[in-house]
Amino acid sequence: MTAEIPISRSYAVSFVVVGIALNIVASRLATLTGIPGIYLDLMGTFLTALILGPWWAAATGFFTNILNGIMFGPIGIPFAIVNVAFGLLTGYAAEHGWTKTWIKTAVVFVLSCFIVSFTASIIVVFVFGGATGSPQDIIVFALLSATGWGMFWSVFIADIAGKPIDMIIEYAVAFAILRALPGEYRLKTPYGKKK
Amino acid sequence: MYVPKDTVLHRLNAKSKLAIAVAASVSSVLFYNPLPAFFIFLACLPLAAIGRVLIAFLKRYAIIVSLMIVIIVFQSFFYAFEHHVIGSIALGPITLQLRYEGVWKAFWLITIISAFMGWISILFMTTHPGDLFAALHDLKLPYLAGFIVLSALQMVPMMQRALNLCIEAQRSRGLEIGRNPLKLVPIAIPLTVGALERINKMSWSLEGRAFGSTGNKTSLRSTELRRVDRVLIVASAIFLGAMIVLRVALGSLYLPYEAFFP
Repeated sequence: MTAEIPISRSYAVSFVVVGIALNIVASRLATLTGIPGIYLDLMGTFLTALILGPWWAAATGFFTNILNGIMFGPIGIPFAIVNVAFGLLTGYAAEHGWTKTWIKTAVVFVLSCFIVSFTASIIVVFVFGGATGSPQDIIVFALLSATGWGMFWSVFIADIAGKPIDMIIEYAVAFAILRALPGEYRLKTPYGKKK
Repeated sequence: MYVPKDTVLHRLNAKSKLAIAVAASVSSVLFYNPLPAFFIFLACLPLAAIGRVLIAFLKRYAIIVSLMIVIIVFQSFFYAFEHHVIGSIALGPITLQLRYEGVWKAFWLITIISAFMGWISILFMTTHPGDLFAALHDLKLPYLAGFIVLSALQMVPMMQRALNLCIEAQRSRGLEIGRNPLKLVPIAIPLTVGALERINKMSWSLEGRAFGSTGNKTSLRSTELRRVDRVLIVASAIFLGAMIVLRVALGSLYLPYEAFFP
């Protein structure tokens, strides 16, 4: 059995700092594909959740959006709630052993898709009147005019439809990296028992 | 977003600019009427000119124009609550109804978003992040929070360079990203491994500098308030107080359908 990583305060702070930068840079990377719904802005938060736990992950998520606001404009600041919710969910899941087997990880994956889309839709609807300013708005418009659904459900369905692809990349990258790292980093992943 | 210049606005203390931005942003959401928020938004344009950041400000604002248009379309045609129809547009088999309450809400939303974004942008564009967080630290923001944001601010350009290197390296090996999101994985993995190496280096250097030791932290950046800053903080508080009094006295200033279509 591998021992837990000895985490000092300075290590945790460094992890959060780099996690924030990773979130921001990876989201820039996502724009290369030009596909709506691919954000990759939770990768650093997810790694922080798996290694440091929920509250450091929530801090990573929160400060990512604050920094995004300072660097690129304040529109993204309200979405800090999404990143915090994702950090808390995956952090607590990792802490309680829900990322140690593939089946449990799949449950966390589905839950995180749901929570991220749900919180994002709340902000999109109540702060931005249903608009995101992205190509996803076309899907929302189609749903609103063709189905007669309300604004919230149209935004939610449009968002969650593309969410699994975004999340698969975030999860795949995080697990691929953790698999290659020393044993103590893999404790909360399905690779945890392999040395 | 910070645009380094030597102007009156840049020389103001971050606390006074923060007070102005908070007072203006809060005031813009007090009424359910687009006009107060619109005037509050307009008021930040001369300030952007004084701070010589008007062009950069307008470029930032142009980014959200598409968002504004979508808000108008969504709210005007799909407002879900009780409404009055003021017109309709046929789009093939679908007929869209223009709803008065939706149009009102759309304009209210875009003006408060504009006001909020305008004043926060002025704050970020004319205040060095170091000054902003030194000021927030004085206002009892935990030191750790400011440290994390300022460190991340320096880390992002480094990681951006690392990302460019990863992209170039993978392209030289024949990787074409195209519109396939899974092709991002071979770039994201080396980027993240590099990030983990940075964590170790950073934590060692923090340990070497006795990070986490107790005691009062000092800052290179001065956060002293001058008389003009004090005047601006008091004026912001008075303005916000006056707006709250007006809100209580006048109500939300909402004009119902009957006011325009008796």
